[in-house]
Amino acid sequence: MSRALRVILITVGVIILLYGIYYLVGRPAIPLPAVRYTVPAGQPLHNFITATESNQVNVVLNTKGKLELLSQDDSLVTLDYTPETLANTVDLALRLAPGQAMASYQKFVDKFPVYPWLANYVNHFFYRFLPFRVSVILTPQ
Amino acid sequence: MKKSNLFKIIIALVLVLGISLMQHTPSAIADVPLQEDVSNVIHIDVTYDPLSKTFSAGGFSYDELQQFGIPALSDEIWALLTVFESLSLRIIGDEIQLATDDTTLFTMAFDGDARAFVYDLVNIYIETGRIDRTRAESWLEQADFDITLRKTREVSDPLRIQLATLLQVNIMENGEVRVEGIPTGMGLTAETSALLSAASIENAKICWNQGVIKGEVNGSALPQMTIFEDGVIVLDRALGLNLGDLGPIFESSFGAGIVLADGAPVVGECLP
Repeated sequence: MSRALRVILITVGVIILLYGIYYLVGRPAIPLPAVRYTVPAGQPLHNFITATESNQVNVVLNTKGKLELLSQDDSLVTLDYTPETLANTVDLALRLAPGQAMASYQKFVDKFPVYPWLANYVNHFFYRFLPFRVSVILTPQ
Repeated sequence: MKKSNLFKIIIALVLVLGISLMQHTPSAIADVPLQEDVSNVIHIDVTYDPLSKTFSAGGFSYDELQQFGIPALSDEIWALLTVFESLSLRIIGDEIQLATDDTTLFTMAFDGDARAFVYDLVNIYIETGRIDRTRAESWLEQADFDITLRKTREVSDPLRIQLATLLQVNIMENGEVRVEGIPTGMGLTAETSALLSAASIENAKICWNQGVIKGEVNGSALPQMTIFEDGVIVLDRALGLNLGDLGPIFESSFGAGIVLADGAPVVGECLP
Protein backbone atom coordinates (compact mmCIF):
# COMPACT_ATOMS: atom_id res chain seq x y z
CA MET A 1 0.00 0.00 0.00
CA SER A 2 1.41 3.38 -0.97
CA ARG A 3 2.04 6.05 1.66
CA ALA A 4 -0.56 8.45 0.18
CA LEU A 5 -3.25 5.79 0.23
CA ARG A 6 -2.41 4.92 3.81
CA VAL A 7 -2.69 8.59 4.83
CA ILE A 8 -6.04 8.91 3.07
CA LEU A 9 -7.47 5.81 4.70
CA ILE A 10 -6.25 6.85 8.15
CA THR A 11 -7.73 10.34 7.68
CA VAL A 12 -11.09 8.94 6.57
CA GLY A 13 -11.04 6.53 9.49
CA VAL A 14 -10.34 9.31 12.00
CA ILE A 15 -13.15 11.46 10.53
CA ILE A 16 -15.59 8.55 10.76
CA LEU A 17 -14.50 7.84 14.34
CA LEU A 18 -14.84 11.48 15.41
CA TYR A 19 -18.22 11.74 13.73
CA GLY A 20 -19.30 8.52 15.42
CA ILE A 21 -18.48 10.01 18.83
CA TYR A 22 -20.25 13.25 17.83
CA TYR A 23 -23.30 11.21 16.76
CA LEU A 24 -23.34 9.24 20.01
CA VAL A 25 -23.38 12.41 22.14
CA GLY A 26 -26.49 13.53 20.27
CA ARG A 27 -25.13 15.68 17.50
CA PRO A 28 -25.23 18.96 19.41
CA ALA A 29 -25.50 22.04 17.23
CA ILE A 30 -22.13 23.64 16.66
CA PRO A 31 -22.34 27.26 17.85
CA LEU A 32 -21.04 29.89 15.49
CA PRO A 33 -20.00 33.38 16.68
CA ALA A 34 -22.94 35.67 17.33
CA VAL A 35 -23.58 38.49 14.91
CA ARG A 36 -24.68 41.90 16.19
CA TYR A 37 -26.96 44.08 14.15
CA THR A 38 -28.24 47.53 15.01
CA VAL A 39 -31.71 48.22 13.67
CA PRO A 40 -32.18 51.81 12.55
CA ALA A 41 -35.07 53.80 13.93
CA GLY A 42 -38.19 54.02 11.80
CA GLN A 43 -38.35 50.34 10.94
CA PRO A 44 -41.15 48.18 12.41
CA LEU A 45 -38.48 45.84 13.82
CA HIS A 46 -37.06 48.79 15.80
CA ASN A 47 -40.42 49.25 17.55
CA PHE A 48 -40.57 45.56 18.30
CA ILE A 49 -37.11 45.57 19.91
CA THR A 50 -37.75 48.68 22.01
CA ALA A 51 -41.04 47.15 23.22
CA THR A 52 -39.10 44.40 25.00
CA GLU A 53 -37.93 44.97 28.55
CA SER A 54 -34.31 44.21 27.70
CA ASN A 55 -34.20 46.39 24.54
CA GLN A 56 -32.62 43.46 22.75
CA VAL A 57 -33.93 40.55 20.71
CA ASN A 58 -31.90 37.43 19.91
CA VAL A 59 -32.72 35.50 16.76
CA VAL A 60 -31.29 32.00 17.10
CA LEU A 61 -31.27 29.55 14.22
CA ASN A 62 -30.52 25.90 14.96
CA THR A 63 -30.30 24.02 11.67
CA LYS A 64 -31.69 20.96 13.47
CA GLY A 65 -35.03 22.60 12.76
CA LYS A 66 -35.63 25.47 15.17
CA LEU A 67 -35.76 29.24 14.80
CA GLU A 68 -36.29 31.21 18.01
CA LEU A 69 -36.91 34.82 18.91
CA LEU A 70 -35.73 35.42 22.46
CA SER A 71 -35.65 38.36 24.78
CA GLN A 72 -33.65 37.98 27.98
CA ASP A 73 -33.76 34.20 27.55
CA ASP A 74 -37.57 34.28 27.38
CA SER A 75 -38.98 32.77 24.21
CA LEU A 76 -41.21 35.10 22.23
CA VAL A 77 -41.82 33.00 19.12
CA THR A 78 -40.48 29.61 18.05
CA LEU A 79 -40.59 28.08 14.59
CA ASP A 80 -40.08 24.32 14.28
CA TYR A 81 -39.36 23.08 10.78
CA THR A 82 -38.32 20.02 8.85
CA PRO A 83 -36.63 20.07 5.45
CA GLU A 84 -40.01 19.36 3.87
CA THR A 85 -41.90 22.16 5.62
CA LEU A 86 -39.01 24.54 4.93
CA ALA A 87 -39.14 23.68 1.23
CA ASN A 88 -42.92 24.25 1.24
CA THR A 89 -42.40 27.67 2.84
CA VAL A 90 -39.77 28.68 0.30
CA ASP A 91 -42.07 27.57 -2.51
CA LEU A 92 -44.96 29.57 -1.03
CA ALA A 93 -42.76 32.64 -0.53
CA LEU A 94 -41.59 32.49 -4.16
CA ARG A 95 -45.18 32.28 -5.37
CA LEU A 96 -46.25 35.20 -3.21
CA ALA A 97 -43.17 37.30 -3.94
CA PRO A 98 -43.90 40.46 -5.92
CA GLY A 99 -42.64 41.01 -9.41
CA GLN A 100 -41.01 38.29 -11.46
CA ALA A 101 -39.28 36.43 -8.61
CA MET A 102 -40.95 33.12 -9.41
CA ALA A 103 -40.36 33.44 -13.15
CA SER A 104 -36.69 34.32 -12.54
CA TYR A 105 -36.31 31.34 -10.23
CA GLN A 106 -37.86 29.05 -12.84
CA LYS A 107 -35.44 30.34 -15.49
CA PHE A 108 -32.52 29.71 -13.11
CA VAL A 109 -33.69 26.15 -12.42
CA ASP A 110 -34.14 25.50 -16.14
CA LYS A 111 -30.47 26.48 -16.67
CA PHE A 112 -29.23 24.55 -13.62
CA PRO A 113 -31.63 21.65 -13.07
CA VAL A 114 -29.38 20.15 -10.36
CA TYR A 115 -29.95 23.22 -8.12
CA PRO A 116 -33.18 22.06 -6.36
CA TRP A 117 -31.59 18.69 -5.59
CA LEU A 118 -28.42 20.38 -4.35
CA ALA A 119 -30.33 22.81 -2.14
CA ASN A 120 -32.33 19.93 -0.70
CA TYR A 121 -29.11 17.94 -0.08
CA VAL A 122 -27.48 20.86 1.75
CA ASN A 123 -30.68 21.41 3.75
CA HIS A 124 -30.76 17.78 4.84
CA PHE A 125 -27.00 17.73 5.52
CA PHE A 126 -27.14 20.56 8.04
CA TYR A 127 -30.43 19.26 9.45
CA ARG A 128 -29.36 15.66 10.06
CA PHE A 129 -25.57 15.37 9.90
CA LEU A 130 -23.90 18.56 11.02
CA PRO A 131 -26.27 21.02 12.69
CA PHE A 132 -24.96 24.40 13.69
CA ARG A 133 -26.38 27.29 15.69
CA VAL A 134 -26.11 30.91 14.67
CA SER A 135 -27.34 33.88 16.72
CA VAL A 136 -28.13 37.37 15.56
CA ILE A 137 -28.40 39.94 18.33
CA LEU A 138 -30.67 42.81 17.36
CA THR A 139 -30.40 46.09 19.21
CA PRO A 140 -32.08 49.41 18.50
CA GLN A 141 -30.09 52.34 17.16
CA MET B 1 -6.12 -0.21 -6.17
CA LYS B 2 -5.68 3.01 -8.15
CA LYS B 3 -6.05 6.31 -6.32
CA SER B 4 -8.67 7.57 -8.79
CA ASN B 5 -10.83 4.49 -8.18
CA LEU B 6 -10.50 4.94 -4.43
CA PHE B 7 -11.61 8.57 -4.66
CA LYS B 8 -14.60 7.53 -6.75
CA ILE B 9 -15.55 4.91 -4.16
CA ILE B 10 -15.30 7.42 -1.28
CA ILE B 11 -17.40 10.03 -3.12
CA ALA B 12 -19.98 7.37 -4.02
CA LEU B 13 -20.18 6.26 -0.37
CA VAL B 14 -20.78 9.82 0.84
CA LEU B 15 -23.49 10.41 -1.76
CA VAL B 16 -25.24 7.10 -1.09
CA LEU B 17 -25.13 7.68 2.67
CA GLY B 18 -26.49 11.17 2.30
CA ILE B 19 -29.27 10.21 -0.10
CA SER B 20 -30.35 7.19 1.97
CA LEU B 21 -30.58 9.24 5.16
CA MET B 22 -32.52 11.97 3.34
CA GLN B 23 -35.39 9.53 2.88
CA HIS B 24 -36.49 9.89 6.49
CA THR B 25 -36.61 13.00 8.60
CA PRO B 26 -37.93 13.28 12.13
CA SER B 27 -40.83 15.63 12.66
CA ALA B 28 -40.43 18.74 14.74
CA ILE B 29 -42.22 18.66 18.05
CA ALA B 30 -43.30 21.72 20.00
CA ASP B 31 -42.17 22.11 23.58
CA VAL B 32 -45.56 23.47 24.65
CA PRO B 33 -47.66 20.59 26.01
CA LEU B 34 -50.50 19.97 23.61
CA GLN B 35 -54.11 19.39 24.57
CA GLU B 36 -54.66 15.66 24.63
CA ASP B 37 -58.37 15.22 25.26
CA VAL B 38 -60.01 16.95 22.31
CA SER B 39 -63.68 17.48 23.04
CA ASN B 40 -65.65 19.93 20.88
CA VAL B 41 -66.90 22.46 23.41
CA ILE B 42 -67.67 26.14 22.91
CA HIS B 43 -67.94 28.39 25.97
CA ILE B 44 -69.67 31.68 25.18
CA ASP B 45 -69.76 34.37 27.83
CA VAL B 46 -72.53 36.95 27.45
CA THR B 47 -72.90 40.00 29.66
CA TYR B 48 -75.90 42.27 29.66
CA ASP B 49 -76.86 45.55 31.30
CA PRO B 50 -80.63 46.15 31.61
CA LEU B 51 -80.06 49.82 32.50
CA SER B 52 -78.30 50.75 29.24
CA LYS B 53 -79.95 47.86 27.30
CA THR B 54 -76.61 46.78 25.88
CA PHE B 55 -74.95 43.40 25.81
CA SER B 56 -71.64 41.86 24.90
CA ALA B 57 -70.85 38.34 23.71
CA GLY B 58 -67.65 36.35 23.17
CA GLY B 59 -65.45 39.36 23.93
CA PHE B 60 -67.16 41.53 21.30
CA SER B 61 -68.71 44.79 22.48
CA TYR B 62 -72.28 45.84 21.70
CA ASP B 63 -71.12 48.14 18.88
CA GLU B 64 -69.05 45.36 17.29
CA LEU B 65 -71.97 42.92 17.48
CA GLN B 66 -74.21 45.45 15.77
CA GLN B 67 -71.72 45.66 12.92
CA PHE B 68 -72.12 41.90 12.50
CA GLY B 69 -75.86 42.42 12.13
CA ILE B 70 -76.94 41.39 15.64
CA PRO B 71 -79.91 43.66 16.43
CA ALA B 72 -81.05 45.15 19.72
CA LEU B 73 -83.23 43.06 22.04
CA SER B 74 -86.89 43.82 22.54
CA ASP B 75 -88.22 45.31 25.80
CA GLU B 76 -89.91 42.00 26.64
CA ILE B 77 -86.60 40.15 26.57
CA TRP B 78 -84.95 42.88 28.70
CA ALA B 79 -87.79 42.60 31.23
CA LEU B 80 -87.09 38.87 31.48
CA LEU B 81 -83.33 39.30 31.76
CA THR B 82 -83.69 41.90 34.51
CA VAL B 83 -85.12 39.22 36.79
CA PHE B 84 -81.99 37.05 36.78
CA GLU B 85 -78.45 37.75 37.96
CA SER B 86 -77.01 34.94 35.84
CA LEU B 87 -78.23 32.30 33.41
CA SER B 88 -76.56 29.24 32.03
CA LEU B 89 -77.64 27.52 28.84
CA ARG B 90 -76.07 24.22 27.83
CA ILE B 91 -76.68 22.39 24.59
CA ILE B 92 -75.29 18.89 24.96
CA GLY B 93 -76.15 16.55 22.13
CA ASP B 94 -79.95 16.51 21.76
CA GLU B 95 -80.65 18.17 25.10
CA ILE B 96 -80.91 21.75 26.32
CA GLN B 97 -80.37 22.59 29.98
CA LEU B 98 -81.25 26.02 31.37
CA ALA B 99 -80.10 26.99 34.86
CA THR B 100 -80.09 30.19 36.84
CA ASP B 101 -78.03 31.09 39.88
CA ASP B 102 -76.99 27.41 40.17
CA THR B 103 -80.62 26.21 40.06
CA THR B 104 -81.76 24.12 37.08
CA LEU B 105 -84.88 25.63 35.56
CA PHE B 106 -85.63 23.00 32.97
CA THR B 107 -84.20 20.40 30.66
CA MET B 108 -85.74 19.74 27.30
CA ALA B 109 -85.09 17.67 24.20
CA PHE B 110 -83.52 19.59 21.34
CA ASP B 111 -84.75 17.49 18.46
CA GLY B 112 -84.93 18.30 14.75
CA ASP B 113 -88.22 20.28 14.96
CA ALA B 114 -86.98 22.30 17.92
CA ARG B 115 -83.74 23.12 16.11
CA ALA B 116 -85.62 24.16 12.95
CA PHE B 117 -87.67 26.58 15.08
CA VAL B 118 -84.47 28.05 16.57
CA TYR B 119 -82.87 28.47 13.14
CA ASP B 120 -85.96 30.35 11.90
CA LEU B 121 -85.92 32.52 15.01
CA VAL B 122 -82.23 33.36 14.65
CA ASN B 123 -82.62 34.08 10.94
CA ILE B 124 -85.21 36.70 11.85
CA TYR B 125 -82.68 38.45 14.07
CA ILE B 126 -79.62 38.16 11.85
CA GLU B 127 -79.98 40.91 9.29
CA THR B 128 -77.31 39.70 6.92
CA GLY B 129 -76.90 36.11 5.83
CA ARG B 130 -78.90 33.08 6.85
CA ILE B 131 -77.90 30.02 8.83
CA ASP B 132 -76.80 27.10 6.68
CA ARG B 133 -78.94 24.40 8.31
CA THR B 134 -76.88 21.47 7.08
CA ARG B 135 -73.77 23.06 8.54
CA ALA B 136 -75.59 23.99 11.77
CA GLU B 137 -76.77 20.38 12.17
CA SER B 138 -73.22 19.19 11.63
CA TRP B 139 -71.95 21.53 14.35
CA LEU B 140 -74.61 20.50 16.82
CA GLU B 141 -73.67 16.88 16.25
CA GLN B 142 -70.01 17.58 16.80
CA ALA B 143 -69.92 20.26 19.50
CA ASP B 144 -71.44 21.00 22.89
CA PHE B 145 -72.32 24.62 23.67
CA ASP B 146 -72.04 26.23 27.10
CA ILE B 147 -73.48 29.76 27.22
CA THR B 148 -73.35 31.84 30.38
CA LEU B 149 -75.25 35.11 30.72
CA ARG B 150 -74.20 37.53 33.45
CA LYS B 151 -75.82 40.79 34.50
CA THR B 152 -72.90 43.22 34.46
CA ARG B 153 -71.65 46.21 32.47
CA GLU B 154 -68.25 44.56 31.87
CA VAL B 155 -67.35 43.38 28.40
CA SER B 156 -67.76 39.63 28.13
CA ASP B 157 -64.86 37.20 28.23
CA PRO B 158 -63.47 36.04 24.88
CA LEU B 159 -64.73 32.79 23.44
CA ARG B 160 -63.17 29.72 25.02
CA ILE B 161 -63.28 26.95 22.56
CA GLN B 162 -61.85 23.49 22.25
CA LEU B 163 -62.68 22.33 18.77
CA ALA B 164 -61.19 19.70 16.57
CA THR B 165 -63.74 20.40 13.85
CA LEU B 166 -62.61 23.09 11.43
CA LEU B 167 -64.51 26.37 11.20
CA GLN B 168 -65.44 26.92 7.59
CA VAL B 169 -64.15 30.23 6.25
CA ASN B 170 -64.97 31.20 2.70
CA ILE B 171 -63.37 34.07 0.84
CA MET B 172 -65.73 34.96 -1.97
CA GLU B 173 -64.63 36.18 -5.39
CA ASN B 174 -65.19 39.80 -4.36
CA GLY B 175 -62.97 39.31 -1.31
CA GLU B 176 -65.83 39.09 1.20
CA VAL B 177 -65.02 36.86 4.19
CA ARG B 178 -67.74 34.54 5.51
CA VAL B 179 -67.48 32.30 8.55
CA GLU B 180 -69.80 29.32 8.47
CA GLY B 181 -71.73 31.10 5.74
CA ILE B 182 -72.33 34.22 7.83
CA PRO B 183 -70.79 37.46 6.47
CA THR B 184 -68.31 39.01 8.88
CA GLY B 185 -68.33 42.50 7.40
CA MET B 186 -64.65 42.07 6.61
CA GLY B 187 -62.97 41.36 3.33
CA LEU B 188 -59.69 41.16 1.47
CA THR B 189 -58.54 44.02 -0.71
CA ALA B 190 -58.53 43.51 -4.46
CA GLU B 191 -54.71 43.49 -4.47
CA THR B 192 -54.54 40.74 -1.85
CA SER B 193 -57.13 38.64 -3.67
CA ALA B 194 -55.22 39.05 -6.94
CA LEU B 195 -51.95 38.09 -5.23
CA LEU B 196 -53.46 34.91 -3.77
CA SER B 197 -55.03 34.03 -7.10
CA ALA B 198 -51.75 34.58 -8.99
CA ALA B 199 -49.98 32.33 -6.47
CA SER B 200 -52.54 29.57 -7.20
CA ILE B 201 -53.55 29.36 -3.56
CA GLU B 202 -56.84 27.48 -3.34
CA ASN B 203 -57.19 26.71 0.33
CA ALA B 204 -55.47 26.78 3.67
CA LYS B 205 -55.86 25.05 7.00
CA ILE B 206 -54.83 26.72 10.23
CA CYS B 207 -54.94 25.05 13.63
CA TRP B 208 -54.39 26.89 16.91
CA ASN B 209 -53.73 24.81 19.99
CA GLN B 210 -52.84 26.84 23.09
CA GLY B 211 -50.30 28.94 21.27
CA VAL B 212 -49.11 26.35 18.77
CA ILE B 213 -50.03 27.09 15.17
CA LYS B 214 -49.95 24.45 12.47
CA GLY B 215 -50.73 25.45 8.93
CA GLU B 216 -51.15 23.96 5.52
CA VAL B 217 -51.51 25.67 2.17
CA ASN B 218 -52.93 23.64 -0.70
CA GLY B 219 -52.31 20.55 1.43
CA SER B 220 -48.58 21.28 1.93
CA ALA B 221 -47.53 21.54 5.58
CA LEU B 222 -45.78 24.67 6.81
CA PRO B 223 -43.40 24.94 9.78
CA GLN B 224 -45.04 24.76 13.18
CA MET B 225 -45.05 28.09 15.02
CA THR B 226 -45.27 28.44 18.78
CA ILE B 227 -46.32 31.85 20.06
CA PHE B 228 -45.73 32.61 23.71
CA GLU B 229 -47.78 35.11 25.68
CA ASP B 230 -44.66 37.20 26.34
CA GLY B 231 -44.17 37.52 22.58
CA VAL B 232 -47.72 38.68 22.04
CA ILE B 233 -47.38 41.23 24.85
CA VAL B 234 -44.26 42.63 23.16
CA LEU B 235 -46.02 42.76 19.80
CA ASP B 236 -49.02 44.43 21.39
CA ARG B 237 -46.78 47.11 22.95
CA ALA B 238 -44.80 47.60 19.73
CA LEU B 239 -47.80 48.01 17.46
CA GLY B 240 -50.23 49.52 19.98
CA LEU B 241 -52.86 46.88 19.28
CA ASN B 242 -54.49 47.01 22.76
CA LEU B 243 -55.32 43.34 22.61
CA GLY B 244 -56.17 43.09 26.30
CA ASP B 245 -56.13 39.84 28.24
CA LEU B 246 -55.26 36.98 25.91
CA GLY B 247 -55.24 34.29 28.58
CA PRO B 248 -58.45 32.63 27.31
CA ILE B 249 -57.08 32.50 23.75
CA PHE B 250 -54.01 30.64 25.01
CA GLU B 251 -56.29 28.16 26.73
CA SER B 252 -58.31 27.48 23.59
CA SER B 253 -57.85 25.25 20.61
CA PHE B 254 -59.63 25.66 17.31
CA GLY B 255 -58.98 25.67 13.61
CA ALA B 256 -60.23 27.01 10.35
CA GLY B 257 -60.42 25.68 6.84
CA ILE B 258 -60.11 28.66 4.51
CA VAL B 259 -61.31 28.27 0.97
CA LEU B 260 -60.68 30.93 -1.66
CA ALA B 261 -63.33 31.47 -4.33
CA ASP B 262 -63.92 28.08 -6.03
CA GLY B 263 -61.04 26.29 -4.34
CA ALA B 264 -61.26 22.70 -3.14
CA PRO B 265 -62.79 22.32 0.34
CA VAL B 266 -60.50 21.64 3.29
CA VAL B 267 -61.01 18.29 4.97
CA GLY B 268 -59.69 16.91 8.20
CA GLU B 269 -59.61 18.10 11.78
CA CYS B 270 -57.28 19.94 14.08
CA LEU B 271 -55.76 17.20 16.15
CA PRO B 272 -52.96 17.71 18.69
